[in-house]
Amino acid sequence: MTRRATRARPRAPWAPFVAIAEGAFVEVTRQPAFTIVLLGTLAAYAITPALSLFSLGEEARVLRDFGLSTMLVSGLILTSIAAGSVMRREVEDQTVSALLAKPVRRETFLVGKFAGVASAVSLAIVVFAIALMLSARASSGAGHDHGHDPHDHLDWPVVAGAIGGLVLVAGMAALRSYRHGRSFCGGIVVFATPIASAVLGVAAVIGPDGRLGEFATGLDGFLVPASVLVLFSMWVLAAFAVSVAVWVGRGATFLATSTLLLAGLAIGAAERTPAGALVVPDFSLFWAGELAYVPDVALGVDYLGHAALQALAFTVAYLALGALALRRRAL
Amino acid sequence: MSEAGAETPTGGRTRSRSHRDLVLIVVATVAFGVAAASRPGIVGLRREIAPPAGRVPGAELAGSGSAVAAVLAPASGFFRPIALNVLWLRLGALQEDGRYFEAASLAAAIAELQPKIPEVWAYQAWNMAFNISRGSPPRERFQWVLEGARLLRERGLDHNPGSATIYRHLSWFFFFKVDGVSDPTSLVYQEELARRFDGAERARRSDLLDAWRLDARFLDGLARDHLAELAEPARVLDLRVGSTHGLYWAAAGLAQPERESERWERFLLRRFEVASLHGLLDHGHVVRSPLRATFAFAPDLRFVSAVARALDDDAREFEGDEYIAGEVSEARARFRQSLVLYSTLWNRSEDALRWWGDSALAGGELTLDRFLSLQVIRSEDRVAAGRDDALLRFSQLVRGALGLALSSEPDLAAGVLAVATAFRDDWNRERPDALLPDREEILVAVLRDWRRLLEPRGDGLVDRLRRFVPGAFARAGVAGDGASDLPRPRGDHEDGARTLLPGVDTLGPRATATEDGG
Repeated sequence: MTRRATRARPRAPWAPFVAIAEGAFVEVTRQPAFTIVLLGTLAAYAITPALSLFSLGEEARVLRDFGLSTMLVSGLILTSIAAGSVMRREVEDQTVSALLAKPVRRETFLVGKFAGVASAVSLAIVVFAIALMLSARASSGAGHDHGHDPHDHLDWPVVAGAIGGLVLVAGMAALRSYRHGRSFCGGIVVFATPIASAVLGVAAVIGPDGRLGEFATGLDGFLVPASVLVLFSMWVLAAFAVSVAVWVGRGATFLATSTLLLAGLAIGAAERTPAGALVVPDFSLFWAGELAYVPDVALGVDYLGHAALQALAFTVAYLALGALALRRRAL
Repeated sequence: MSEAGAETPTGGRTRSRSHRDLVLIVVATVAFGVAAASRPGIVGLRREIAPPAGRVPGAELAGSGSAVAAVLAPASGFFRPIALNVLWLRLGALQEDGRYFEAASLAAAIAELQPKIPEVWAYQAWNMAFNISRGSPPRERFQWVLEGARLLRERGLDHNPGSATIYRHLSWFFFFKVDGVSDPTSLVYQEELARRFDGAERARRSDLLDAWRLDARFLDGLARDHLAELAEPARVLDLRVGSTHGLYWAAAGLAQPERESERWERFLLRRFEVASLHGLLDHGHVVRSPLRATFAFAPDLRFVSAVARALDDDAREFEGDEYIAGEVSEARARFRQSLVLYSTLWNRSEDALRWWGDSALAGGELTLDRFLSLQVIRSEDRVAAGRDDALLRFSQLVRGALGLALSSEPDLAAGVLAVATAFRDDWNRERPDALLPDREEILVAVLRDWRRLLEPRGDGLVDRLRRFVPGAFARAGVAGDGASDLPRPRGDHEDGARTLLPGVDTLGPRATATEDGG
């Protein structure tokens, strides 16, 4: 071997970060608990229309509210599971010491783990949002004559797309597992997003009556920005959870992240802004469930921009504090 | 433990670590600062998107909904619809069993879980005002009606600012439940409401207005709108009247920014506004007894123009709709006939004649006196009515007229006496087999009772009666000393005076221990 051949290829400066993030993503998505919560939430969306019987004529809005609430809670559980698994296991198994010996900066390690967790949770939120939009369309009976009971009509394009999509996702995940020895659960998460998007695309061009119609007929546009807000809140929660998981176990991480969410929601209900709002995000600003009942409401780009800035600022702040904690942690 | 960065003999690694720690602290601080600085911007945008507040009457009095609901709603996830289904089913079972108190508690829990659905609040308030109140003792009923209204204007509006549905129900509670005829005890409700706002100073007290979420400026604006032709002192809405509240909440609902999805609700609000104006015309003038806090409710002619304008607006709006246009035309005819009676009750005989001439009834077989007489006992009821019934109603009208005279309402007193006379003459013409005595005889009989009760007071009230009917007063002083043998009403609905002027029979003195209980 010549000297030239043995010289290591210069690595890109972001390579450790990408490797850590990728590893974290795989680690998270292969967790059976993650897949169970994902599928459980989809099942919940499928049966929620049947549970909104006592909506007093507000079925569509109630479904929006329940759907977004379910998305938020499921996202919280996923984030806690993900953060707890990728951080705590590394610390408990001492694998973090080997990794940091590479050398990799602790800040890079933490941010990489966050990126992996946030990516996995983001994919799940996208799937939830699509499922909620399809569920809302199926229950609204859009496109039918005014005054007709929507429960009498089945939205075949949505029902067929949802069932077909689920079968396809399971089949592709199984094939991937069989052929490449990869995790079946991970395959579910990976394939769910593109296939759900495809089903949504089909539903956007095929109306509830099964004919080609006006684009996006019956799809509730409000749910898009509302879901984006939930996504932002998940990034903040993921940053917090990853930082907390440096010190505590999964259960405590879930407890701390839930407390942060509840405290943040309470901030919005307070008459005066409490001092805690400096370090705890006002999660009511990311919660659009109550706006679901406001007639003719629209969430504009400017609102989403402001929300993104809030989410980014708190994410950076929590990651900085998490990195500080990790640096002080004896490993 | 490995760390990026070289270690030097002079402690360079330690300095590097401290330096990086400092950088992280600065980054966190700056990020928190950015979040805090940008928060007002997004909060402002959120307020613009969600509830519009600028023109909302009493908006500054409204809260922002409970913290429990604000946390519970988003954090309950999929468990909320499940819990709601169980609670609603349980609520239905309790309602069927007539267990309204338990149902009310359960409905409160449901409302906390579905705070953003106005109909949920309306349902709960309706249960209190219409179901629980009817199952309660008469003295407690009004409290339940008020609780229902309070729930709507405080909790319901806090959670759903600007909701036309909530405003509609609030208006309905006052102009229909309190001021209407849906409940046998509605007169008690009217008196209770009048008692709460009695006294000019009390009615304008800010703490009372705040407690009822009433905006004084909006109220003044309403008075200007509907009583435009009157001079300032008379341009005041009387909060002792339920229909004033009905008008306020309907108008407040209409003052909210218009939303496409609430067109039907706004249509209903407009109807309720008109209905409240009718209510004010019918019984918006409050007469207070000088003896105790009891009240009578007489027509308020200040609202004639407002109702006429509303009817004109309706006629224009529904010109193309044959059915509704017919309804409006009938409403206008009824309005003119009402004005004949109301002008007579206010002793404005010239106005009464003018309205009589305008009404469709003029020129037919019906005379004005006969028309007035039929307002006391309708023609279809006269066959079954005996002399005792007629005498009861006649004497109640006379008693009511004396009560009005005692309450410094001489015009109303004279008008009621004129209607009583028209009734007596018409009855005697129609039923010679059951003749009623002269008006003077009834007056003397009533005055004999009242003088015995009032003269020991020595506060000049007796002089009001003397000035009103000097002849009968003199005769009552000379004649006997016992109680009159006039018939007494047997129930709530047997009072001819009450149908014309609710509460008028409570104005005079009573020979009971509660004589000065007011």
